[in-house]
Amino acid sequence: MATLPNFELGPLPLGLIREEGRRQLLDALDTRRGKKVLVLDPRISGFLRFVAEVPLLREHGVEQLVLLDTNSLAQNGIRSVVYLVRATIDNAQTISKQIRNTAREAKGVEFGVFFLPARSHVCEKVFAEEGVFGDIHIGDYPLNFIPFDSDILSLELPSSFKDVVVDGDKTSLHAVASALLQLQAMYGAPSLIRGKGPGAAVVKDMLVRMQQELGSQAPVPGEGAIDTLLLLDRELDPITPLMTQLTYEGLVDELLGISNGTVQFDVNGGQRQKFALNSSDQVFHELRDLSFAAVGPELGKRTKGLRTDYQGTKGPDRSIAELKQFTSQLKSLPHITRHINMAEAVSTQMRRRSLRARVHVEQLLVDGRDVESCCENIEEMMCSGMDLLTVLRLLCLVSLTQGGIPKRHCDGLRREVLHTYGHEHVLTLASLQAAGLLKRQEGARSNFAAVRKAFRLLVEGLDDAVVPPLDAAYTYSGYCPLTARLAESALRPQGWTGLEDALRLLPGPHFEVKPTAYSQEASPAETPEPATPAAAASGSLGLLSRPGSGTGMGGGAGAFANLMRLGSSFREAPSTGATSKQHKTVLVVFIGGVTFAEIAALRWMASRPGSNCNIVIATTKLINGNTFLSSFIDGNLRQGMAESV
Amino acid sequence: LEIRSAIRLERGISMPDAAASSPAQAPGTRRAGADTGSLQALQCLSRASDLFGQSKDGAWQAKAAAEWRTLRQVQGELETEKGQAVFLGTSLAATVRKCIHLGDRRSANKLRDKFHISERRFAWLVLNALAEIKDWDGLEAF
Repeated sequence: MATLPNFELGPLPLGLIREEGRRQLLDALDTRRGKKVLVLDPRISGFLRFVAEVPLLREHGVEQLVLLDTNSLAQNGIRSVVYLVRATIDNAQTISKQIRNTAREAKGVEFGVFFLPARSHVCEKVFAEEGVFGDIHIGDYPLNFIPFDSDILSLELPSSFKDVVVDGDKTSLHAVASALLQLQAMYGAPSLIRGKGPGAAVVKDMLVRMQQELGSQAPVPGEGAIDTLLLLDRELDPITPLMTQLTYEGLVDELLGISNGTVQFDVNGGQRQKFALNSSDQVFHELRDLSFAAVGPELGKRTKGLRTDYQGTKGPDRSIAELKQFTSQLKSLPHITRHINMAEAVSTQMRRRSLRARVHVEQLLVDGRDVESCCENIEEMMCSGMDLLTVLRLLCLVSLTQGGIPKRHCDGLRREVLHTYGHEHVLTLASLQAAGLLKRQEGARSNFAAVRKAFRLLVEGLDDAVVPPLDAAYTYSGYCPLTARLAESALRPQGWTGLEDALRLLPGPHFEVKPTAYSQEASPAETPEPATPAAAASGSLGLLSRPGSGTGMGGGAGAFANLMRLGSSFREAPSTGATSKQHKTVLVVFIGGVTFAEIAALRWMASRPGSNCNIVIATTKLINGNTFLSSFIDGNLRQGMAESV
Repeated sequence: LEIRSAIRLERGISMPDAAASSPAQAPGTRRAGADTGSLQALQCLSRASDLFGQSKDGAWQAKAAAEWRTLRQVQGELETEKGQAVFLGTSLAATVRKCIHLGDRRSANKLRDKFHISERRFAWLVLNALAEIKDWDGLEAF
């Protein structure tokens, strides 16, 4: 069931990341001898399957897999415990409690705690305060990007946007920069970095600095498999995630929920289905980015195709080869059935959740028409028991498109939210306000109308069901994600030149860096070495013993050199297989999350005739409007909501 | 800064509140009206309201916190009156709905007046609540 995507099919062979992640996980496990319990942070357990499967873990002595809590592990008769967790204070406290509980009942249990992607001093301090620091072995598990599909990498940092915008906490930006550095060590450095937005600028500065610190060890720009790096900040476009995604994959995510690349839903008979959604499913690969309107007809075409082929095979003069071909086509039949079931489940949910009304309001809002009736509509939705997140999405959408919620509605709507969903959400509203997503209209109009015009965000009279689509705006039925337009223009030969006025409408600086060989900027004390990947890959002792300052990769320079060696064969022969040099490989990084529909828009762009690029997407998290906004709800409240559902 | 401290205080009170709401979901486990953190929570909310009021644009939050305080108070009274621990920690809409479920239109009307619920909204709430308990006669009479 849990089929993995084929990582080698994309523009970059992401299997390398998986192999490296797996090797390091096994190394971590092997530090503890004998049979052991592996305790997982719930935030990690979901995506760990992209790195290693359970049977493999068993081979390395893992007897039991449990989620992190404070219960004693003594009764299992196990001698050693390995933790795999994010470096948060909560986790450190929970682990300390569990260790003390276990130690009370059993003596001599070994504990190893591995932090993903790296330990933090705060956690070590917590261990010291709780008096367990001496009992544990602390290590890092430097897994940054997790490959979710052949062209998608995610850091799985769900609250990145909120952390940066509301709390001013730039940890996630540092995580992006060090993950990019790690990626460059494997696949080579880009010869062009382009980006826009406050967060993007911070990431760029960090990345350039980290490269300089590596000096001659750094990969030479432009010699690897990545040609261009495009950094886009969610702050540029908070509107798109609030809209309902209307592609197949996007709508499945909105209505059924895709979590860690798998979906679960009830088939009409009431039986529950769960399966993996990625490019290894050929039918899904072809349909995922289409507008949902086109999915029904396409599925129909496929079943009909099979029937005519079947009739074709019945004649007496069919060759074995033809029959063989037909049977191989039959293999896709279970996939087709599965997708028919899933499309049905989506349609059921569409009716149940009055999606049409919601999309209608969204369309009016981005068009800037009938704001009054939209506000009334939203109030009505609250009356009829719409869920909180949907209502918040629409409220933020009003605010962002109109430069604030119209005065005469604002107080009423806010009060209504508190009355319907509980006064505790005064906190939620306050943090949305702090992020600038929700505010009262105060004189100044939003510049959204100007942005909409400058970037041609609305496309009139577009038929979504046309295959292949005519404009990236098909992803939101006539509204094009701003990020897609930004990427489109950034990938033109002339880049963003000529667009400066339009870009100035958006927050943060835009920049373009053409990194030269970083070795030239290395400290003068060092003897200049030829900065070829081969030299770095050979890993002379002098290089390895240099302290890795601020690379943020846990293992420091040693680990970096290791990665360089891993990727070296690949970087030296960049024009192999799929990555022929007629096509540039572009890594588009979304800081603060990306939706499936936005990914679809980018893929569509790359697949157009005349396009000369392959796109790989990296993000802090795959999001939709609900997951995007749920990070603004206080942790305690979120838990309460989950329980009451 | 003022807002920050107010919010932090608010966070502080949302903890006892969350603690109070979890037993509320299992009616009967807690003695009606006897919310241990009740008095403390009310005080916290008053203070939060004051702090919000002092900050630059915290006026609506101040109002909200004050309203929350009143709601908790009313909910506490309702619990003592009904002898059922079902009100504290729920929203105003849920409180009205519960009153209707218990067949207490008078309390529901009182809530409407106290919290200035609009006629339209109140009608929605009552109709939905009546439909939920399948009180078709009540629906027809409405």
